[in-house]
Amino acid sequence: MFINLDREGTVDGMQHLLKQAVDDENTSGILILACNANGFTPELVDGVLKQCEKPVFGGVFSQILFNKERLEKGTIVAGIRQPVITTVIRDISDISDDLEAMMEHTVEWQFLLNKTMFVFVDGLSQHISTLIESMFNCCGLLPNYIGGGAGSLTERKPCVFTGEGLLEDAAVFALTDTKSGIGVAHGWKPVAGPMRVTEADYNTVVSLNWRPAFEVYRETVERISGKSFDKSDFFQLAKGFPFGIVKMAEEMVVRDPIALDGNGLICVGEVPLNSCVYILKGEKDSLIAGAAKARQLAESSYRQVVKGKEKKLPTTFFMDCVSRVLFLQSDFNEELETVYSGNPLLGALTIGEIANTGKNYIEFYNKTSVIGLLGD
Amino acid sequence: MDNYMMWSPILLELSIAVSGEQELGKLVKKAASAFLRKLNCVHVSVLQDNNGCLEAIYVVPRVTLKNPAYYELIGEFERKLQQEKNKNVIVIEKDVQYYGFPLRNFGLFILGRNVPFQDVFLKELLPVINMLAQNCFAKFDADMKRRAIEAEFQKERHLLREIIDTIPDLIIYKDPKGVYKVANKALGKYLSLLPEEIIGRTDWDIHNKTDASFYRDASQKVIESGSVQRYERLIKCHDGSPVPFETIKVPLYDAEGTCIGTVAVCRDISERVEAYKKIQTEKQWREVLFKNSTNAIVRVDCNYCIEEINNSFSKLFGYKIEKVKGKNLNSVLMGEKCTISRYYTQVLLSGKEITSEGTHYTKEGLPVEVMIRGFPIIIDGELLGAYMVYIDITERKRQEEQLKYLSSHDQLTGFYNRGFLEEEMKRLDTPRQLPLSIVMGDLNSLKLINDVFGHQKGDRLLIRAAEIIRSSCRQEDLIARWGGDEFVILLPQTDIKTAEEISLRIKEKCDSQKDGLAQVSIALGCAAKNSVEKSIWQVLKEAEDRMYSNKLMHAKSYRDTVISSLKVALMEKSMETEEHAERLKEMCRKIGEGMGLSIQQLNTLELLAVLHDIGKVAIEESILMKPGPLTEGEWGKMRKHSEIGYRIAQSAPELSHIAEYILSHHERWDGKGYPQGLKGEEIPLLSRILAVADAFDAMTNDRPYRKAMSREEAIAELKRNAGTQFDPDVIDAACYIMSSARDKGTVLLSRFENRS
Repeated sequence: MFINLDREGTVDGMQHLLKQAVDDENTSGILILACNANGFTPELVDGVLKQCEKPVFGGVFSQILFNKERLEKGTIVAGIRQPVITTVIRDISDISDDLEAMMEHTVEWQFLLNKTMFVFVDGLSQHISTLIESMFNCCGLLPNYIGGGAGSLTERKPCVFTGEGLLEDAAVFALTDTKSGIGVAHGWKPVAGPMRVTEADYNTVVSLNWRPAFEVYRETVERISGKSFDKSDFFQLAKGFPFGIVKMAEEMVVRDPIALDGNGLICVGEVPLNSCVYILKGEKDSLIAGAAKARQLAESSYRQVVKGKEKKLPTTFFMDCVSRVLFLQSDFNEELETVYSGNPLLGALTIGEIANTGKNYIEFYNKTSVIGLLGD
Repeated sequence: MDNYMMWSPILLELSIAVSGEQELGKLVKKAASAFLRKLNCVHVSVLQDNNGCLEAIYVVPRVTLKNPAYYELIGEFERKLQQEKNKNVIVIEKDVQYYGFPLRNFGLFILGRNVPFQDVFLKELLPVINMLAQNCFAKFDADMKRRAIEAEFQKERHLLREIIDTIPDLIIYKDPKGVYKVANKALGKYLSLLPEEIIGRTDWDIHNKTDASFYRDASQKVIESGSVQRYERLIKCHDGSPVPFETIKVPLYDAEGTCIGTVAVCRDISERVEAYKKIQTEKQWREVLFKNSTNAIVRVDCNYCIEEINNSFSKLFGYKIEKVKGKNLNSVLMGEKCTISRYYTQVLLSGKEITSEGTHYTKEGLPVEVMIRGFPIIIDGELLGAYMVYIDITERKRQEEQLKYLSSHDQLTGFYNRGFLEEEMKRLDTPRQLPLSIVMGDLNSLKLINDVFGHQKGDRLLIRAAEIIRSSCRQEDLIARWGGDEFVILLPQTDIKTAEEISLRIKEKCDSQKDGLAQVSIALGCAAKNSVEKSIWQVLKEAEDRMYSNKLMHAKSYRDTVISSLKVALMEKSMETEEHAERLKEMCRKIGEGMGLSIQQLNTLELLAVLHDIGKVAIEESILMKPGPLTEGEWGKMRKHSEIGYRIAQSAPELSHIAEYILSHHERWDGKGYPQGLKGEEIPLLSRILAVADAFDAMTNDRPYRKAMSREEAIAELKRNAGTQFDPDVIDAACYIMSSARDKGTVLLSRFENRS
């Protein structure tokens, strides 16, 4: 894999880097990570993307990660050497059950084994969980999945790079022969629970333990933090106390409560009915430790995959939740340094992260660090 | 396991995932998904046992189905299931650990996991699997039932669809917003739109603005009122032709009673409209026929009350429809009392045709003879009323009466005719009518009167005789004209004495009528049937015989009377005097004597002298008495008198011997006379003598058209015409007599001269 950075974040710069990648005969597919501040629009970049002779995939994020740097402007273009097949799903919000069958037709059994599936999705689309589930139901855990929600929290606009252009409400899947090891961790610790989600409406938790959800949540959070929801903005207090959905033998899936709907709690991402949840609490050290754990898990996983045959050092692909930056603020650099091992690192701050933890279930995460080590 | 990992919530979640009210497919999918997520599986399969073969009904990841190794795995499980029937879990180790959980009565549940389950956890998991097995079986069962129901429902739906598509009427269901939701195939026939093409559209997409707003308003009305709307309207078809449709629009409600739209059934009524037009036309035809029929026609309802009458009815009975509509026909035409009409009404209203004749009454109460025909109006077995047709037969009836009268009566006299009387005789020939008398009468001289004066005179004589007979008989007596001049009077329960009295009355009345030429004289004969044994025909014969006997007895005197009457009449008519007759008689006798005729011839000659011009009684007086010369036509008539005289003479036995002479008395010696143009001695001698005597007397006496000649002149004239007009011998004899008479100065001749 070769990685190039255009710090200016211009269309010309990206076009130049793309040309280089295309011209590079060792490159099979091209991964693009761009900053929202670049101001890329379909009008500006679609021509470039459509003319690109090799499969293109990637996303526009609020910030991108390049080695130890966190960039607010710029474009990373990475050439993937292993063969790449991309699939674009448009209009995710209108997604139906047909997706499984659609994906089943596009992939073959033998293509998936020990491969890596990059997944970039418009982070503000609805039904991302359904999309992920459909993908998993079709492909299972045959490949490793890594990716995240593209886009900006501040405004909705086209943010998914595909060979068909820069798209909104879309997802791009790129299946590569690249071997990888995946690690997922967040460092959030349970402070209360478990509790049963006794009533839920997709991403709204209506009741916990058969009581109004906010009532239960408020009691706990106010008790632990010593702060009152009456005196502060809901999210300001709630961002420190997300829900953790229990997964068997794996890291809990974090769900941020971001707003109130009466006594219901609106979360980012689906909270399934009857699931067991904890209320989590995050601290700087635990979070950074979480990122470190993700790195460890990825390395461990990668070793199992390559079984010591791969001499070349892997590239680190870091999908970190944008909310972790909001929470850690300046301490985030510490997290980045923890993850950076000296080998090339590229990544982005995402709205929700996608990965399967090791060889286990694929999930759409919040507030989580996902690290993939790519043997490309 | 993590510190906070707990089995119980996971098992609970799995339990929830394998339960709940859902279809088999959803259950399986949900269970597979839950096991996959919650137990960190890499593979989950739900397989159904089909006669020992496992068939995958849901597999995650789906792409596994493309892996040939998977089918080997299934085969391996099938074998192991056979071998280890009672095992709760069958484990096969491959690249991952595969756990096969037999789902009792259903199939197999396979979990693939990188990390083996702990035995303790596996033990905890089995109840959940059992629950899944039970639910799968139950759901499968329910699913089968549901599918069967669905299939049935589909079948019914298909059938319903087929049915509504078979219906030729347009069937349309629209929602409350006017959007087409259901339509049948008939739509294609008229609008060229398939049902699927119209679904989802509105009237505004299909029809023009006017039509669309009409349909919207109609639907709105139906929805608001909740009542059925019915209207007829022309719909423009795809070929542009307007087709009349009858539409019935009804509101449609769901189970809660909320209106969910309207259903319209539109029927092509072209044929009906055409038929209606045809009916109207035919009705008009019928109307014209009905109104203007020459027969009086009335239509009544099933209560016999008038509904409609035609012009002829009004004309015949004088009623106007406004005055009689709704009234009972019988009460209008004849009053309620007429039993026979009530009977006919009943017959008619029982559904049978009637034909009868009767007397009905006009508005003014005048009777009208009518022939009545009644036709019940029965439609579909129901009697709706009837038509009554009246034909005015008053005139026919009158003629029939006349015919009937004529068939039994003699037209001239008004008496019964012979045929009728014969029938009556047979009818009355019963013991109850005894004694039964018959009077037979024969009118004398009818033939003479007919011959001489014509049949008109003869008829008058007959009428007079009839009047006499009728006035002489009783009311109950039957009088018939038996033959041309014969009458028979049948007198039931009358003895001979009374019959004779009647005869006498007749005779007396005849005698009392002294009326010149046409005096009525009837010969009468009576007979009576006093016993049953005696034939009535025999009695008739007896009466006839007695009548003839009487006739013979009185014939001569009667004829004399007639002839005398004739003579008198002749005198009166032709201004001939008795003296002329006497002169002529005298002269003829002299000439006859001079010519040596026998006494009988001389008597005949005298009679001829008196009666030779008797035929003149039948000549019109205007010709006889004409002062100037006669025209050719008048002469023709005048010349007839010798033939008439001949017939008169022929009619009386006492005169018949002079008939020939009368006929020839205007013949000339040279054959130029009349009527037969006899010549010379072909002319009877007595006629030749009379001709000379008559000429001489005529010449020597005044005539209306000339003055009398002198004797000498007359003699000279006679002589001059001897051998041409007259017989020379007779002239000689006459001249001799005339001369000798002058010489001898006979009183007679001088008397002659004096008078002339």
